[in-house]
Amino acid sequence: MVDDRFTDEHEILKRAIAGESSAFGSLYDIYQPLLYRFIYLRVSHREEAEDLTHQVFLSAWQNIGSFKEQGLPVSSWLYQIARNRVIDYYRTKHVSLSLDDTQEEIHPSIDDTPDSLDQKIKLGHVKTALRSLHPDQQDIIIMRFVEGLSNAEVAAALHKHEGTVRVLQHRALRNLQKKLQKEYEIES
Amino acid sequence: MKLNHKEIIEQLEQFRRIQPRAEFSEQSKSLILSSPRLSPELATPISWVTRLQYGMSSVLRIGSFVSVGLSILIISLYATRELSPVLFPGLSPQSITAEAEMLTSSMNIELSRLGYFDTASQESSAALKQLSQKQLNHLNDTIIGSEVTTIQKSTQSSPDETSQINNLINQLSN
Repeated sequence: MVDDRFTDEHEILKRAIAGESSAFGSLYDIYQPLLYRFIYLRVSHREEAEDLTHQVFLSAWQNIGSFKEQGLPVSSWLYQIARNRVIDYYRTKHVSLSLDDTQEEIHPSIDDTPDSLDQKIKLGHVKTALRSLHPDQQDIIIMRFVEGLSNAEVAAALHKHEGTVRVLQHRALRNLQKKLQKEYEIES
Repeated sequence: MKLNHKEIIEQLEQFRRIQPRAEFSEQSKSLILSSPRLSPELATPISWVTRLQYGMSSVLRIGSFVSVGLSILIISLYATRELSPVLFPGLSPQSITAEAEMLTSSMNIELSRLGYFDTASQESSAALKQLSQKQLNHLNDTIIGSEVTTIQKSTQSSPDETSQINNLINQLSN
């Protein structure tokens, strides 16, 4: 849990930059679940997601002394690191995406919930359709609709203008809709 | 079945329930916070640019030293090969040949002297050998003296014979 003293993220960040490990620990508590979720949805493998998440925060801790705020939230910086790690992951491990993996698990934390089977199947379709999108479109969909980041935060993380993010977001949703339609057609 | 955008977004929001394992989170956090941080000088991109520039300038410096050294070497080789007859007359082919001939003749002289020394040493060694074998009786003073006496005795003639010989010589000369 985040310490009550650290109510202001800006204050936490300043202390973390100054080298206070407890302040960075608070940032870790806030952002680690988000970054883990983002990475998991991109690599769809729990252990790999854990490993990459660890690397992201280790890199952030080692380099936070050089972090320049410049009006951007720390989340954008962390997502930038995470995106680069995921890109490296696919580049170095030569992981190929298969569209036939419809039977893959969504995630243990969802699989173990008392959701109806129909709901779980629906989520499985969404996850498979999401993974079949272009990596940039996956990033935008996850950041905007799963993580709930603002357009400005997404734009900062992707090094794009907000207007561009809106356009890309619309295209990504439309593509996702098409992919889902295809999924349901295959199933029926 | 066709989902509209709103329904898709609702489905996407369901993924917010994805959570990392608590054990992993705790372990990862403690590992990270116990690891050392990079100093800002090393972590700042500007400092890396500066380091890169410094590295480039070092490379350029070393390169310029090497090129100056190579230039000096090439110029000196050129001067030795092409300009030496002009700048260094002693290095002209004619003078070098003459010097070589001089050296050859002096070497020949030295060789003949060596031959003489060799012969002398051989003779000396033979004489020494003779000495060691006591074969030099003819050089002994006592022996020489006795030989002289013997010769004198054997060649000694009477006064009559001497006067007869003198007469004969006088007659012949007349």
